[in-house]
Amino acid sequence: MLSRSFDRLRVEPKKSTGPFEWSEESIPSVQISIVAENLRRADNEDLKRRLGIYHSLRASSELLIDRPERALAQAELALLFVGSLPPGYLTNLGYVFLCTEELDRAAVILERAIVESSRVQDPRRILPALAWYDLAIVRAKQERYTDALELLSNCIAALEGVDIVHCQALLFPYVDSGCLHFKEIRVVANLVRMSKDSEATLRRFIESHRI
Amino acid sequence: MNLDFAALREVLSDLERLSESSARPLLGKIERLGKFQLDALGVLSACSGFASARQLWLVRYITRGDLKWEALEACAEELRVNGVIEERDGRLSFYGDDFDRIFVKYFAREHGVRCEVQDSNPVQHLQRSIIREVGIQGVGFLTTTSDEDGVAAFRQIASALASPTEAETSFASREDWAQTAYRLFSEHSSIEEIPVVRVNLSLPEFGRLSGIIYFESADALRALPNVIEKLRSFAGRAKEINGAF
Repeated sequence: MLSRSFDRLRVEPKKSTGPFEWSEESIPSVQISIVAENLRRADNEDLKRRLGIYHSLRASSELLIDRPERALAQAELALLFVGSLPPGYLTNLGYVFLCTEELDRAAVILERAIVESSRVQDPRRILPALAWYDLAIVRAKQERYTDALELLSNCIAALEGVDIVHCQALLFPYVDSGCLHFKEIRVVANLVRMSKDSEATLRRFIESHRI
Repeated sequence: MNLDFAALREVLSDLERLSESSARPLLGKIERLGKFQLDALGVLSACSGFASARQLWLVRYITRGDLKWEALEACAEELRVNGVIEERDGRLSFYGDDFDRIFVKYFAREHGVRCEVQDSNPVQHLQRSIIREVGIQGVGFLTTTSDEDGVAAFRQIASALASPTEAETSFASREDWAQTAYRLFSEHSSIEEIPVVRVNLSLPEFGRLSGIIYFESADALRALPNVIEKLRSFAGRAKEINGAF
């Protein structure tokens, strides 16, 4: 017991006095869901937009480092500010729900992203194209193949005349042992090529199963 | 395009062809500066128009401990006589325009020295220097604008954010604190008590500075012992120079 007391005395102090004082402290945390809920009702649209963007980006970052539970938690917080989110961030959010198998929520957000992005001045129509592509993958996962094909053709039509659209991450379908699977590409993927390849894969799958 | 000293030299040659060279005598003076003088110029121009040489040295010595006051004072006089810096009401200013600032930054970089002319106030400069010398990504420093204690200020903001009626107004009144608190609650959602470091600095010719050092992520938080080690060395040097005033 005595030696343990001496050991404790030898431990470096957790504070310093003098002209440069510092001390280790802690502050009580507040549940982020409570704070976000309080701010969801705020009148300040710009604040809500920034908070929504923050959570949407955090969700994407967590997904990229393979922490889907944390990604989902951040995406749920972003949902509180969904009304203030710009369309690009809505698509990000939809993709997080898609990758965490929250397909119904992904579909709602991506449909909203398509509507919102059609209002944005974007002659190359990349924003709706990406949302159409992700929604097509949602529908394919839900086995709504006809809807998926229609969304993919919307995506391909929107990108007509464009050679390359780089995306950080995309899910694409492939067939293995007669079953449809999905794989994520995390290197820079070309949406133009992926949308055409995915459409061809889905058509082959549908024809081989006479769906 | 990469902006480096060679690119700036080309821009300068173009300016010379346009007979602008006589309008830029400062550049020749800068090119004649040695490594030590460039380093000193970086220290003396960090708060251009807002701080005294003594304040600027104080920040450098506390955070790095590698520059003696006498050496900086002598160099400041030399730079002042050469017209590279000027002193008004006890505050030092860099004597050039925006192009000269960019030129000196890249010229010093070529010599392996950091020399950035900035218009920060001394408190912002101290804040940034502490964080730069701590050198860990995701570690930040919030300061209070008065004698208010940093931890008390944070608790007040946290309590406001937890209240449905005060959350929005806390962003309006103290946005940087509210934003930081929000991010910390989001990043450290699995812990009930978030570790921070309270800092109070009180030195003659500088006034009083209070605040907290915070950790934006779990990774940054793991570096707490390294941060403490740095703060210990800052505190030691602050004590040492306090006696010398």
